[in-house]
Amino acid sequence: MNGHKLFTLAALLMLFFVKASADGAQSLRLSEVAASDSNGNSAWIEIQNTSYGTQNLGGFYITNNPAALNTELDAPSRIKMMHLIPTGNPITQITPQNCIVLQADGQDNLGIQHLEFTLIPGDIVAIFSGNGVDLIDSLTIPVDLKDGQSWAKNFANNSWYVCDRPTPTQANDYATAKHNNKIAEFKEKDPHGFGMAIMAMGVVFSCLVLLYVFFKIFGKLFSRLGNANAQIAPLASSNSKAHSQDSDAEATVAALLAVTEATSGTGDENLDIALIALSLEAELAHDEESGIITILPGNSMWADKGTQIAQRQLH
Amino acid sequence: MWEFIVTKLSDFITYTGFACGEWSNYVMMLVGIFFIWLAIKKDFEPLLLIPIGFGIILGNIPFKSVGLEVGVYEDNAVLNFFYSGVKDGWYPPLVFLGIGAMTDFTALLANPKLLLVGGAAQFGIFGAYMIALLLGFEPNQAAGIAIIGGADGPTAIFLSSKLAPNLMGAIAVCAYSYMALVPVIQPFFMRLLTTKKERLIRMKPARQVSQTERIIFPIVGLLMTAMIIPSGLPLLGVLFFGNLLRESTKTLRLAKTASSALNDIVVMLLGLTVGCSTQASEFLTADTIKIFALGAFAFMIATCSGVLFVKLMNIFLPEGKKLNPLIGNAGVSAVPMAARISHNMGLKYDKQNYLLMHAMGPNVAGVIGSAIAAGALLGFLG
Repeated sequence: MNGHKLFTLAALLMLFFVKASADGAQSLRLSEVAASDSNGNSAWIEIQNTSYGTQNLGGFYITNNPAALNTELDAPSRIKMMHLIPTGNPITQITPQNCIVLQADGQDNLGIQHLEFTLIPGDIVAIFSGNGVDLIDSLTIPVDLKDGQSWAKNFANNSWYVCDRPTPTQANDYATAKHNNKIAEFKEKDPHGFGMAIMAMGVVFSCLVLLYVFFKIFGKLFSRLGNANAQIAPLASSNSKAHSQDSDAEATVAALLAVTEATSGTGDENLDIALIALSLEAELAHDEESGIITILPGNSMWADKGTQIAQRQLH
Repeated sequence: MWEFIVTKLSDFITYTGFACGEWSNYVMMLVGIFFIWLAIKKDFEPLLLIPIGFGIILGNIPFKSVGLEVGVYEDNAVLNFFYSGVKDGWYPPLVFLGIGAMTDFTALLANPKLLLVGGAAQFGIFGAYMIALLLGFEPNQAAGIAIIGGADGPTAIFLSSKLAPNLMGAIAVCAYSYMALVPVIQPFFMRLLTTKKERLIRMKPARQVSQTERIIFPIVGLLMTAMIIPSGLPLLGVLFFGNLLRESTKTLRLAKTASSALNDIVVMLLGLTVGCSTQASEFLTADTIKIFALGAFAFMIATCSGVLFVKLMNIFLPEGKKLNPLIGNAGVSAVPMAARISHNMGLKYDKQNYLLMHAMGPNVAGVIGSAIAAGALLGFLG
């Protein structure tokens, strides 16, 4: 029984390590590449460790030969077309979220960071795991890549872009690269600034013309409304006359109510009933709430010194 | 014992400003003193030039960089903390909040076509941009310098901090210096481009603007500008927010704080840290001279384009509705100095011609226009 458990545990551990190893390989990604240029600068390949653990590139294969991607060929034939990254050297250990740059200068005798092939625009680059069969990552350098440019990966959306200011050994800063590309584009295509002047002034005027049109129409509308209100004003004053008549009636009722309260009745039963009804109606009219909550200090215990002192003592 | 004291004192002397200073530091200190003199004696923008002038002296006091964390560019230094508002561009929007809370857009709403004059004056920015490119500046640097033509210090700081941070000190000082020099620069071009008959044009009195219109303006203004140019959102958003605080009449306490205490605090820190950032090594360069020359060009072009645009509008406007071209200069957003210049010029030729309120229209339109122009430049190059 114990032997069976141990076997299961060992199998699970093996599975875990195999899986971890595969995941580790997958976390090594081609992140930026530059072709050799007409100024004599050699090509280079940047490989990034996207995981949070150290990864070893030693024992992996790298190639620029598209035939190596042919899955119909057997492993030994494919490996012959690849460059083996030597093992046992700490240089190939890539720390978390870091990268290594390999020089594709065709001079692999200069060290393990130098490759036996070079790169030109249009070439492919592929990395294979230690068995020479499992493709880890690959890319094709754009044929129109110019001197001084690199082909870089934007890890945010898994896409590639032309970078005018290559950043070997540094994380690809897509935002900065995009900014630099914009500036380079303006420098190249609008060297005198006429395009910018036309576009930006166009934007400024579009916004201001929109505001002008809106407030021109709106202003006219309001002027008309203002005139209409001025015409309504005399009507309103005639209404106020009617309102003052109502007020007079209210004043009479109030005077009568005062007499009723003072004399415990006017003597006329019907008049008393009518006055009481009017009085109740007036009270009902005040049942509507204002919607504004007002708490005077005297209405609450907030300002009560006794309560405050008691609370302080409790604390 | 004595040997120890002598060693320590000799060591201490090497730390003093006298031992660490270079001639360029002293030149900058003189510049700072000159700014303070201009502000106090000549009354040139004292609210800005005194903090900037003092900041220039402060920022140019030499010291040995041995991790004391005192310099404006040193991490964890108090001055560096203040400087973050400039570097990261959050002081300018706070100043704009105050401007929004202070500005009365009534003159503009009464005569909305003045918005276009505020737009035309922004050509100063793009004229300067073209000249800056000719002088060999990169497009982003050219844009940062050209915004000086907007005659708006916070906008210049905001844009240059994003596009050309290494030139920001020179750009900010240049922008504020020329704003102070508006009364010197503009009148010549206003006279040059107008006839006596044009200067005597009396403009129709502005109509009454209702409270509703004034409340709707910041909301519609924000929607119509920021929806087109979202990159101008930090400036336009707070400008219109500040104005809504004022015009709603329900948040006068907030509007008062934004336009007084908050604005004063930010202007103080902004001026001081901008001054501090003009350290001799960064400031006394050939680029600074070019920036000052370009700034002057930008102001001239902006003034001329504003005046000429009013003249162009007059061709299409019927008699009785014509605009006095003297208000064209106010399209640059130096509020309210540019409008005051229009007013004074108008009075010089006709003692009864009061142009101040008419000139305030293009003047406040210039604030909006320069913020949109900054947003456009940031959108294209940022």
